[in-house]
Amino acid sequence: MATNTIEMKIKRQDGPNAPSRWEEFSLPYKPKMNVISVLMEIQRHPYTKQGVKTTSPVWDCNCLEEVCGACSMIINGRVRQACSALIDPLHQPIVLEPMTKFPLVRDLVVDRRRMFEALKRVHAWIPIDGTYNLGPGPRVDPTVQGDAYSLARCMTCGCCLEVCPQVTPTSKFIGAAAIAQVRLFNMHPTGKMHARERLEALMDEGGLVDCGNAQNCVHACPKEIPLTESIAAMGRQTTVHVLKRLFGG
Amino acid sequence: MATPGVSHFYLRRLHSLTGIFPIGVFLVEHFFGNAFATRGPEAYNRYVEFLLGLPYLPALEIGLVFGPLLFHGIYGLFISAEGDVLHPAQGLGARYHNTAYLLQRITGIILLVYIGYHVWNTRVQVVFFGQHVDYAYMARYLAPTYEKLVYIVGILCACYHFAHGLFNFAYKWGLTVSAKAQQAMTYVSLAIFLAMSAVGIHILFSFK
Repeated sequence: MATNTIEMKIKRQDGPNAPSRWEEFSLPYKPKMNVISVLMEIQRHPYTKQGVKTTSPVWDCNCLEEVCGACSMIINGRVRQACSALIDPLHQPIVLEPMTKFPLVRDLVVDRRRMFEALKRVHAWIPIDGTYNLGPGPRVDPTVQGDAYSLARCMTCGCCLEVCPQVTPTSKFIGAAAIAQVRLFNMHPTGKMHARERLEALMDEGGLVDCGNAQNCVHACPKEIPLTESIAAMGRQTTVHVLKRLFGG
Repeated sequence: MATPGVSHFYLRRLHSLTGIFPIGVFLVEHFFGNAFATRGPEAYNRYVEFLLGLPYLPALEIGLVFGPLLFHGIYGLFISAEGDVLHPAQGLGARYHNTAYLLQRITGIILLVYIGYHVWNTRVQVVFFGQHVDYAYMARYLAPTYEKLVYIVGILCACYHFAHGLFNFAYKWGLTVSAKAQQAMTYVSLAIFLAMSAVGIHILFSFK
């Protein structure tokens, strides 16, 4: 493989029901590129390696610093963010595929709405708006702040769902991200007031108990969120919640 | 207050619990009791007579063994069907718990067939066809090599499914939360798998 070119192979699909195809691209090497900047080069000059004019591949991106999760895709077989995927260490040809667990929109763009739906379902927020001023919230123990920060890094990118055998295009499982968010909001002194609602939502179909313990999520998470610890912690909270509900206390 | 969705939670937890109690407890008892075979035909026959003479035997067998086994096995099939069992490694490399996810489902399905076969030959024959099961019968029945192979596969599957089920139980119910505790539990479950497999195979080869 010549080092003076960047070779890329992209899985293309014009729409949700269109057939998929592979297109190869070859462009002059420049140092320190990332997958997004290569895609932008292809966009400027949309010709395949064989010299055939094609349409520009479609992708999603926003922050370009691995904090928004929009550019998640499968790069050389591994799901990650395209913005933080530097070209130089990658094996070529670099193979780009869309994530498989979400409905495909076009090319590398998928609809990650099921993750937002999951966050809404488990009440992953703290209600602070009311008809009167609720005043300042309680102080938070610095150790709790530290634990919360590790969970708050979640950017709903979808990597944990992509690698989960229990998440399929048809399964109802909400995935590790939303479960960890329940832990985050139940940890907060104000959020605790709605802990029971979140646990009840987590106990519904497609919730916590649909986890199959394959533990891929924690290894795929680009933000190193303690996902498996969070799932086990929610296991404990639901166990305690159910014991209280059945026997009181 | 229970909604259809929440009963899903209880069913899954019941599935997890029945794997430990009564099924797991029965498995340990079953190995320990049958280990009398290592003490010779008389000791084994005395143990069989003790079991057959237990008070409330049909209730114990149905309530603590066959009922839970059928529930755990059949509901387990539904659980196996919902995941993408043969999903690829997705660039994460070979990882124990990802393999364990697959093994737990494969061993579960093998066990449904194996336990059916095992129960047919050692219990149904007694209850419905008047076969007298004792050391001599077991030794004769387990003598062929293919029978030994079937039992080795069955024993290994049962021990793995139970041992990894202990890990899953501790994880699901929130007994082991920290990554360290989960790691330790992984080793504990593997040690239980090895120890029980050794005992099971020793018992199998004690019928001579």
